[in-house]
Amino acid sequence: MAIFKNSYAKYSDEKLMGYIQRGDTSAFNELYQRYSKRLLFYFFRELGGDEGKAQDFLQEIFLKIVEKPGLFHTDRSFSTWIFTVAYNMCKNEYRRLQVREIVENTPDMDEVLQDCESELHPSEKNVDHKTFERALLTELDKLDDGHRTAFLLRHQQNLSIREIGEILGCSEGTVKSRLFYTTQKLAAKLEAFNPYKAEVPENEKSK
Amino acid sequence: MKNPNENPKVNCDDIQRLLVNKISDELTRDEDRLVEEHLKSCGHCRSYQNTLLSLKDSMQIGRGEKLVPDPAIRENIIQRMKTSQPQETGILRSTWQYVKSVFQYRVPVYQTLSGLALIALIFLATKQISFSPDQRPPEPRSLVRMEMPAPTQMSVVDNLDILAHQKIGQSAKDDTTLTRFIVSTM
Repeated sequence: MAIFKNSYAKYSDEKLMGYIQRGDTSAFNELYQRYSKRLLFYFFRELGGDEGKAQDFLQEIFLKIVEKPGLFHTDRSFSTWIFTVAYNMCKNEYRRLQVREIVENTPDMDEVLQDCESELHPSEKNVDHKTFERALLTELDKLDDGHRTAFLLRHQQNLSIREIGEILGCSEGTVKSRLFYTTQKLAAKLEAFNPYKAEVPENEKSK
Repeated sequence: MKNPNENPKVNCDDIQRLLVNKISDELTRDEDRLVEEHLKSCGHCRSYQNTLLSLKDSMQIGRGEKLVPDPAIRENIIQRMKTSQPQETGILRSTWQYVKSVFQYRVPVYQTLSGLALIALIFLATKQISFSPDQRPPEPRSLVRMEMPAPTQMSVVDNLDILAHQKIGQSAKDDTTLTRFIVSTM
């Protein structure tokens, strides 16, 4: 079995899709191993931290791969294609169920901080990290789809600016501008929660 | 230590803008050098950089939530792949599949048997008709033409069955004898 695994591990995503189109389950296994966790985290962050829904979306997207493999053309980049499909699924979900309304009702920063202090691990450092991450989730959910997705694809999925532009259907300049705006906004909101925030000496304050 | 205000055109706002681009790896070498120089002496921008790095770090897969894909997803999909794929297409396999599918219908036995019998009859009839010249069966003995010598006047008289009927031409045998004689004399 190890021999088969190795033989599939060396193939590109696009080549694996070619095999999946012919019903090869081992090729599917390999592709699933490469993308399932990435997609799960992507859906989780896109869908306001709803793990159940993220798992459902994960199943749905892989079913699309298996049942309609012809939708993918092997001359395209698989990662760009799969994240385009994932992005469209989330957009449809926003429209259909208006999950943004739920997001709007998420607790504000003070509540998040209080929850973390009371519920999480007693270790001081751990509380700081958790606080920061929860605050980040909350702030991410407040962003509009285009800005949040650009940020997730860049910093969670490590996709290039060009790939993100292709997925979102906009120019590289627009992607850069969205990334800049989002990063700046998040940094401003989260600076107070930074676990590594250093005490700034008086002589090194902002100039 | 160099003075952060060495370049009078660069202040903390500029550096922080560059830092935002830096976490997306979008700085040129010169910009990067400028930022590094500034950070050496500016605690405020270092703190801002830490926030950005924490932000980027928190976005990495595996940080924060302990999410694992549900193992049932993979199993369900593989099962579905196996059931939805067509069987291998060998001629024997496809024939067998066809025969099996035919027998899945509830066809009455007598209809099947009579159909088979009809097919067999048609086959045999076709076989009878389509003999090649070499395979043609011999004609019945009665139809074989026998070479017979021309009858003489005496043999005609001998062969006529006058005694039995007191007249000539009362039997088929007489007719044949006379006819042959007449034909031979013409």
